[in-house]
Amino acid sequence: MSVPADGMSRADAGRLPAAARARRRRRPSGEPPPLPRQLNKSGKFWLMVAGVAVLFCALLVPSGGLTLRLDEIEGPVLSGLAAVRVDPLTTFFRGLDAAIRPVVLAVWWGSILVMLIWRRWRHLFVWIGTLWLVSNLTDVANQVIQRPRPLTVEMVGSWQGFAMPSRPVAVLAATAVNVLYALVPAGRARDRGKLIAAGLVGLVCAGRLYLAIDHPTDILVGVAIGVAIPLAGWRLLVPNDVFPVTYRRGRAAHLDVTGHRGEAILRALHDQLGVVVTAVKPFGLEGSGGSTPLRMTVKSEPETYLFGKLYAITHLRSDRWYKMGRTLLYGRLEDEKPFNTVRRLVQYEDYVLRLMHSADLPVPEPYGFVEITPEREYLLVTEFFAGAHEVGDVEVDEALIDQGLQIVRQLWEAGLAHRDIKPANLLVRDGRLLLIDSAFAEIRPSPWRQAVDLGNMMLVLALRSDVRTVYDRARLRFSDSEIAEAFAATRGLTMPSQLRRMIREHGRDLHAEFTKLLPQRLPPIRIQRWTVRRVGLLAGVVVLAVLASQLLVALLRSPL
Amino acid sequence: MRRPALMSLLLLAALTGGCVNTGELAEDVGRLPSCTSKPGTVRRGVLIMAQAVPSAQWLPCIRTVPPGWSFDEIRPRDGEVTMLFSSDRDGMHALTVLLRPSCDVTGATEVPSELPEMRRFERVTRVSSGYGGERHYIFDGGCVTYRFDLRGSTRAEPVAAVSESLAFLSRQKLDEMVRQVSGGRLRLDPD
Repeated sequence: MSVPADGMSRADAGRLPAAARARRRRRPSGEPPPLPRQLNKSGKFWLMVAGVAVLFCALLVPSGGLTLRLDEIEGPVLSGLAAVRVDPLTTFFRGLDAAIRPVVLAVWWGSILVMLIWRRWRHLFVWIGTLWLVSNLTDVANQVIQRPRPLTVEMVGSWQGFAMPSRPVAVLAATAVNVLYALVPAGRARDRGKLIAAGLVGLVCAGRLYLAIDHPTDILVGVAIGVAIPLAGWRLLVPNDVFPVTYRRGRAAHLDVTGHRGEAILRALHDQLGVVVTAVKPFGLEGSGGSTPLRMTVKSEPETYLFGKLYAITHLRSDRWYKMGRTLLYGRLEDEKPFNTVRRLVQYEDYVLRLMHSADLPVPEPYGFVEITPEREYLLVTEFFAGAHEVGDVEVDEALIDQGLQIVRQLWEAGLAHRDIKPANLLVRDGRLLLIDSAFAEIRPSPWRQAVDLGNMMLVLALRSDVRTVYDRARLRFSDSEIAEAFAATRGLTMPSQLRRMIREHGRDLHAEFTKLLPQRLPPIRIQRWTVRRVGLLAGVVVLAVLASQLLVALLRSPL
Repeated sequence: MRRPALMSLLLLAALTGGCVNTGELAEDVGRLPSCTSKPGTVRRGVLIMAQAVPSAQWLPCIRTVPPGWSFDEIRPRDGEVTMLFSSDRDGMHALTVLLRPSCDVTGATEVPSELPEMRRFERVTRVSSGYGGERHYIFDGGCVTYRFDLRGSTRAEPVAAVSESLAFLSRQKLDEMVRQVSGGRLRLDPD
């Protein structure tokens, strides 16, 4: 017996083919989610090693005698190596050791350049942060522990600072981990890279022991700190599933839906919505920047599809930056408060879609959403409008114009604003106009925002028809003053960028043509609002920009 | 590790990296390059000075830190050691003590030395807005420079007090301490 899923009504579930439905399954307590977020075994291992290293360092702090005891144990190893020194090898290891600093600096600048070119901001911040952390922690540990260099044996290399932990080794290891995780795509290349990096770091360590400038334990602690901190940073803050390293051009907002994530999506849809999906493919990526749109093939004869919008923490941050940018640019126009969590963002969109659907607006049927990774990734599932075309690609007749204007009237009556009326969000199928993407929609919006919806709808409809017809049909549903308000409110940046671009390509000033037809013209509604919040935010941004530029200049000179 | 834990770690590192005065910390836990040691220990700061300039037969050390002064940090490297001191009246890094294998005493005047094993040279560079000057002690295999950059109103007054608080430890004595603490298993210098 199939049971309707949570968030999916019995009627919704009934519209899917029987083969596509499955028994839902509640995830028992303690069972990992479909796509768990984890450090992996190696990450946990290195954190444990780093923990042991920190404890070991803590033991050395209070007593100078203990470091001498340690020297007694480690001394024979270094003396043994010193006994087999030969000039060519000494020259080689001296050169290798001297190369650490220039190599680290060259890699530092080169990597920053690559990350800037590929706009990997998150990778860039994690890189800078982890290296800064390793550099500072080892510096502080050096000064606190104050372990002298090896005694009794002749040092034949250059050194700087105290011995424990070995700072050059820690910084080199951190640089190697950062290069691997920021620049090398996951998979075979990174696996090979790990071997090469381990070999290089190992050679440098061997050289420093040979030159007798570090004790073995200085090197072990240095490697532990140098590997564990960056590894934890990459695994937790820039997980590869969410932020893959690729050298293909594309929007950073779009997530890879193959591999673990693809499998997790199928499992989540099966368990949480009771829907059997056989394939998940990105769909219409060029029209979406705020989520990863997907077309999901449902197991049935004939093939049917569902539409999905995959939201991750990156999209939440994009939403946050977008809203902050709007506040800085225009002040407070309407609700610009960002969402706190991905879950709330998706819940909101699902809820608004359900409101629109229950208001008989021609929107896709909502099927709820599924959790992929708790608080990090959710998938909104809706009906897929198969065979539909963008309104910008079809001839727009009076029937479609009426439907478009009726959509705005219904939105107004339901107390809603879509806030993103543009050709990409208006589809036509079998002579019916359909409205998609409720991500920016608002409940109980300002009158200004509702007027903008009308203005944008009339402009979109006029793109593929004529201004006079759209205007005449609009007067059947809206008063002259409402239309005048719409064009007083709709101008410049209140129009979606796609609509602005298409109007430009059209070669006519549609806004001016509509305005000429109006019996009364209203002065343009100002969108600039100055509030205390806006002033405070602007001041904060300026201060942060100054501080960030100073830090950047200091770091660019040298991370060491 | 959960995010709050990671954030705490980052915060801790930021605090320790940016805000903690490692010199004060060193003083608190007995990490001053002091002239005396507790039984069974050897001052690590003095040890690393000996390692940085293996030819130096005398090593600078701190007898006491004068009131109003603080020891900031020690920066050792092969061939040179720098010790930094600050004063609440004379400013940050008002005194820098350098240990090097040799120093350039051009322009400095030799004055009688209070230490028979060393020659002393003085050079005054500034007498307005405080006091600026250098004092060099030259001895077998090394040289110690006191570089004063006093910005207070008392001019050269603190120089004597600060100089009194610094002293020298012989390399031989330090080697004996290392041997004693390690039961003869360790030496300061290789054979």
